[in-house]
Amino acid sequence: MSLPNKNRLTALTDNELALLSASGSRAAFSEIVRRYTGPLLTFASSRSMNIYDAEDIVQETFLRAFSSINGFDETYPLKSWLFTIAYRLLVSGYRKKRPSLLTEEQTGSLLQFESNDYDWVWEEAGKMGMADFSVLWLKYKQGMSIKEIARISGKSEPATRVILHRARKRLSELLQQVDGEGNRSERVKQ
Amino acid sequence: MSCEYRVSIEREFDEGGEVVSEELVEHIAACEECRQWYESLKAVDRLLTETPFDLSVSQVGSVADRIQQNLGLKEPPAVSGAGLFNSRAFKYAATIAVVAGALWAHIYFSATSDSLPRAADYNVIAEMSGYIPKMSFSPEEIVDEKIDHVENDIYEAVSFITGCIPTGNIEHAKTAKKDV
Repeated sequence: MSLPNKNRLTALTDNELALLSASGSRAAFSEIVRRYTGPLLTFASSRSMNIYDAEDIVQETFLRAFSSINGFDETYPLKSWLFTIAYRLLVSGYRKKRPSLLTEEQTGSLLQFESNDYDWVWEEAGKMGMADFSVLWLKYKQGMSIKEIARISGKSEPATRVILHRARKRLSELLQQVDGEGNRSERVKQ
Repeated sequence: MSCEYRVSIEREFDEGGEVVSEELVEHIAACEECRQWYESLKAVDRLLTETPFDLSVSQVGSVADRIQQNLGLKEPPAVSGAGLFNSRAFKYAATIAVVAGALWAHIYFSATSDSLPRAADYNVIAEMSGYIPKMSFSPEEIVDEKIDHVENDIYEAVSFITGCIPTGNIEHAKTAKKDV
């Protein structure tokens, strides 16, 4: 496969980039990093509580993907593969050892999310367990199917459906307590 | 106890984004409990889909840059000119260059003063200073002679730079200057 120039890399599919990376193109893998840093960082930051740990997890995800890109199965979506690595790192409690220079409060404030009236929805989702949040995130923010989510989380499809049902039910109960502007009632906030 | 159709409704909804099979559509229309539940399911689905939950673009961009650099996929940003001159490496290099230059000059001029007439050094400095017009001294013309105040500056400069004493036929030099 001939190596396209940098501008043309952005037009390639994920799996085409993965194949190029496997053939030695660093530019192709760099494009993968550019595409998936945002989704992976948001996914990781919701579980790791601060941006530094989240960044470590994302970097470790890319490092592991980069080191084993030659064994990438092109029948498996690259996105699912990356999220599988990140998910396993999160579940294993991966955390780079470093001196703690900032307090939890300080590091938490460094996360800058785009604001919205319904922010509480994902905040609530973030408070759920790892499995519940991951299923919601992968389905609604990454548009993955139940089958893909089950594969990433290492659970069966029926179990994944149950988790999704439980998480949505919880959010549905909260939704019934919001006013017309998307604000939760004080009772729910507490 | 929930209606037995719920599992099927939710399954079809998750796979296609809506319930389309005739049997389920008819059931939802007939069952008040399932209709309410289906509406709440769609509301949550829409909320989760449409509510943004993204880190700021600048934050993501800076993290992506760092990761690309750490993985060796991207060169670190170029150091600006001012930054380069202020860098520790540049200061070390400049110090080494100055010391090496001074050492070379000392060795070169010392060697020259031993092997060649000192007048040669004097000629060079005199010409550079613009005081004495271009001329040359032969070794035979070289005599040790006290240099008067006019040549004093050149004398000191040559002494300082080369570490040797410049000598020359001063009278000859003065005469040549007058001729010019």
